[in-house]
Amino acid sequence: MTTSLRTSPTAHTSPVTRWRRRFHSESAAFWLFLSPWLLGLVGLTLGPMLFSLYAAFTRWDGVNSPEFIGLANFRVIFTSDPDFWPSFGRTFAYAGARVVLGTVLALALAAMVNTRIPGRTFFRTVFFLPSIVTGVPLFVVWLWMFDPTAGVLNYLLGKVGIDGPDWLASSTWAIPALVLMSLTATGGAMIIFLAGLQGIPTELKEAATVDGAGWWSRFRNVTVPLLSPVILFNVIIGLIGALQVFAEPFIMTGGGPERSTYFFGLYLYNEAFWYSNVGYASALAWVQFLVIVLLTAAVLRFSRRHVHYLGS
Amino acid sequence: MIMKHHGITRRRLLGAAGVGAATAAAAGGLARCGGSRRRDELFFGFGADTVSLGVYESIIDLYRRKYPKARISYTYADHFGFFQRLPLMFRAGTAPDVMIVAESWVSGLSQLGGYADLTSFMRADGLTEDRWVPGSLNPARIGGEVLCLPIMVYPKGIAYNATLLAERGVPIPQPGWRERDLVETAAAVGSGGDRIWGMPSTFGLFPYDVATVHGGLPFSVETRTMTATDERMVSAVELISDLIHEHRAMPVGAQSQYAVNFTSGIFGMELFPSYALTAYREQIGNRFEWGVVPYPEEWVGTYQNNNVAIFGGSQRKDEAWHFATFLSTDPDAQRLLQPIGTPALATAADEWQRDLAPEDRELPWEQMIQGMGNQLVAYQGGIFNKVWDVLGQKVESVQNHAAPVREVLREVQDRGTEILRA
Repeated sequence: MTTSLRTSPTAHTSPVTRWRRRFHSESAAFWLFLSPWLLGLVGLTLGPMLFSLYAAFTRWDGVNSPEFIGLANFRVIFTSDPDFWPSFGRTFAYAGARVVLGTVLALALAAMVNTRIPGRTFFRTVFFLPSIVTGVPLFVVWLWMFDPTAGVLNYLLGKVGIDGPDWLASSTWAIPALVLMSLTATGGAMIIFLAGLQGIPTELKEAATVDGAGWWSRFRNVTVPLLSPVILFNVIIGLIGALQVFAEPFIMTGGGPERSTYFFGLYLYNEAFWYSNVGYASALAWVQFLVIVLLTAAVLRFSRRHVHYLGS
Repeated sequence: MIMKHHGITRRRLLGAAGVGAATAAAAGGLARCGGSRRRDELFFGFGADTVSLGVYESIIDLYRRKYPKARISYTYADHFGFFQRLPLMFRAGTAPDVMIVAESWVSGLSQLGGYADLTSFMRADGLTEDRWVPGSLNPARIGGEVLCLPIMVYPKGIAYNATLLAERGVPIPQPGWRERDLVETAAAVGSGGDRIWGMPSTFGLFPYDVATVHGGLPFSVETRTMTATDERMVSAVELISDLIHEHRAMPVGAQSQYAVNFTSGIFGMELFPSYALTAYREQIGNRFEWGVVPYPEEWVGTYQNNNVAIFGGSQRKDEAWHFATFLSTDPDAQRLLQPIGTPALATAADEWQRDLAPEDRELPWEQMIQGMGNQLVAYQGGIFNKVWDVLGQKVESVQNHAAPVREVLREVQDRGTEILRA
């Protein structure tokens, strides 16, 4: 019987050598290069999130010391705050319209520029351009376009005999106006759809054509199912973005008229930075966060039966 | 020729990253050390745009020249950013020793205890209210204390489009006019149904301008109770409602003026704050003739000015007071403020009027400045902002749907009471 005397190579090396090896190892490089992001995540995201979780259980004006009040903020949110449910309802209405219309439009544009039409590169560029324009200047331009008297929209409507509405001044038209504006920024989703469309094997479409399928039938039965993971991605990203809508109403309507565009993000912001209810706003932020998480989970669960992954 | 390959090894990469990190840390440390605040200097802070930044910098230069032994540094941000940072700076004890504050910031942030009471300094220096234009200390007086000194004021009147009024055959408003004259003028201009209006809705887009027309406020800051159903409030909101729904003198949509205002030429009149003078001149150009008339006799309106305050936690209050009084009462410093407002010092305000361009000099500044003595400070900040927002929302429902004024203000009263109690 023999006994192996071999031990770990590190057992005979000095601590300095081990440290050098670690320093020159891949994992050291990994952590070093990751560290700026990691520091940002911990210091600027996770840390404030945890603090806001604590603040959600306090009465705090953002300046004086927080006073722990247990679940009182959440009780007020769900039972007596007249702004909570309406702002949530508005936000969902806006997000629903924006995501559904935005997804359909982006898919339609992607399908269009995926064909062999003349000048398709030009169209791809033109459709994508609005999505790279920074938000605030875009909103200011749209403010002018929506102006009932001097705006180009009502001017064009007037040319075809339609008396355009007071877009942002009307509690009926304000949300549709914001949704309409958001549709011009579907270029990002269009590009993702375009990539998805180009990844669909042409043999499948050709097989469907041989079987007698027309354009619409191919699109509905081949393209859409194979594109469903991309649709899911765009819907989730779009939903998360739309539910956090803030800059548009902040710049363009201030939440009006008559609070018709007083979305949850603006409501939260006002409570924190305009009314000095930082504790209460933190509770609102956590409610918003949980709603978005639950909604995303619901969409993912729903997707199990409707999303098809090629090769799975 | 043999090319020697210099591959980037992991060691080199790590070394470079380490050097980079060390450099960044050193640079950060230096930047901290070289920041604008030094412990041995007076620290001045303000919100500014490019024009006012230049003005304040020139005032600081003047101060340094006049008082060579004075050591002063400064910081600034955009107006809103500076306002938002002040509470945190108060809390952290890092607020500037001397700071510029708008009239609404005084009341809003006074609850945080950030402003020093200047009463004893004023008494010691024999500084009395008559040094400034009327009403200048109104925003400063909170809870029996004087929390700031005025540096600039913004007198208000009603701008009118003389060309448009002439086209409609409407007489030009004259000083001493009454509210009924304003209503008649607005109605005559706006009755054509051709998207030409007597005035924009809510005047300046904010509920403050509506609430204070007849001298009302929706709440009392002293008692923290609601006064939204006060008859002065009722009559002011009814005036707006009548102008829109009875006389068709204003557009229905309260926000339709976000993009287009008086300078577009589609409004016969608009509330005119003096700080808009340059913008009006530039935007209107030669497109139409315009002028300004003081408020109708019955009107009160919202007081607006800029002030200098001293941080309550400042370790250099005497030096801060010296600089604050320099800003507020030195004729040369006040003269430098001319591009961004009307100097608050009475003598400087007279000089400011004389120095204006001929067409601007003709505007009725004296009456507008005298009228400021009665104007109300629309207190803002914290929970009061929430009350203003509720009022704004309800005023919009009056504007858009002709909601009954008394009923609407009763709702503001009830909701405001809940807010103030919470």
